[in-house]
Amino acid sequence: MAFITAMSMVGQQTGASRVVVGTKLRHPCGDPNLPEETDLALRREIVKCALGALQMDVNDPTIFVPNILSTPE
Amino acid sequence: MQVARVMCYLNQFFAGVGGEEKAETPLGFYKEPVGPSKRLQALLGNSAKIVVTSYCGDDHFHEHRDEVLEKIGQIARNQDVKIVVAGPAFLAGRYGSACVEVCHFLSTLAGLHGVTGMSVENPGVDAYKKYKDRRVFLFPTSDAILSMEDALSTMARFISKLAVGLAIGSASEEGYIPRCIRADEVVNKRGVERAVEMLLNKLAGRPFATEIPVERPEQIPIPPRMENLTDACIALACTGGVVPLGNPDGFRMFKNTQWRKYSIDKLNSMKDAKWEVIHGGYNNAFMLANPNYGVPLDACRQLEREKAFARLYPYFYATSGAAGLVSDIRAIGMTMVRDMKAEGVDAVLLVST
Repeated sequence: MAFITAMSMVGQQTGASRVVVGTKLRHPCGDPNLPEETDLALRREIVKCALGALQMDVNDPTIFVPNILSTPE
Repeated sequence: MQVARVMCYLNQFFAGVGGEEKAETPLGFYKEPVGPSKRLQALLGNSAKIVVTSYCGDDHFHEHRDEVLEKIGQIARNQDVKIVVAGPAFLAGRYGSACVEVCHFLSTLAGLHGVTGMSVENPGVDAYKKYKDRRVFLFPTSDAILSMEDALSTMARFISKLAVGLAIGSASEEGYIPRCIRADEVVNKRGVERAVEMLLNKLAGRPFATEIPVERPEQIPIPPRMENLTDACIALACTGGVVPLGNPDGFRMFKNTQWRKYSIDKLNSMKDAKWEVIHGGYNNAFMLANPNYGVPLDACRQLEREKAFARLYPYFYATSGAAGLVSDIRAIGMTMVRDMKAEGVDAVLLVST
């Protein structure tokens, strides 16, 4: 299981083995501030990060950071 | 003796900034009691002085945790604070977690005492138990904000003791949730006598109290890595409350005890069908406009076509996690997994808000 959430620390503390940092609490898989295509590209990156995490060896609950993070405030 | 200087920490709602729509409010502070801290100051009387109230949006805190904690540290230093009082947070999960993080940070960084309060179901309680900070005390409250007066009275009684430097008793004496920190104590009877007495009581079915309660934190096994995903069936799961338009299964805004799975077969994007969002714990507007934010179907379909994995399970697993009781959510998780295994799902992408 890969767990995508912006509250990645809490996910890790709860014991989820592979936690992927989501964009924001209210929209974890993407960013509505981005144009549609870029938003989809961000979502792809998050999902790819999650799929990659599934294939990684971990000994403890581990946080994975997708290649692209949220847009500036 | 100088009166103990206290900092209160609140979220955007209790600081009077606004509701869910203001959950991204950055850290701010007032040099006086605000909101429930005003009542807390009245209950504290002369025993302590609330010199600053800091506040932060629930979402903002978690999305910028380190930066916010750093700034709170500076505020506490500038105001020469000795005690931080966070919450009470009741059942608000983001708020409760933030309260525990603030207390932990300030106690570790600056040796401050921390006092907080929340429902025993609040996720903050787990973090508190893990941190085991000697100077942080979490008082259990009820779920409902209506019990604010009780919560504040309980916390104020304890804060006054801390403020004037009185000795702090055990968890059972003072009422805070135990941290499982072992403390030595001298008693009259020798250990061997106490042990035998305890055993005799146990054998006779009489009440007895262990001197060392052993708390076993729940161990969640770490699944081994998947060799590759070429043959894998991936399922999507979401606790963000995305449900079909009309909410046919009657999900509630809070405290759900059920889950369902909804068809995404033939859909290339969540926008290809009609959904709504039932979840009282976050601003639903963005998820409603584009449920791919919680069920990343459009991206998964692309990756499925590109053979990143074999196939996407044709349903997504849905529930709404706001204020869910730990026991209920655990049961939801266990029964979801049973279904997933029966259906030949190999791996899950779970998205939570």
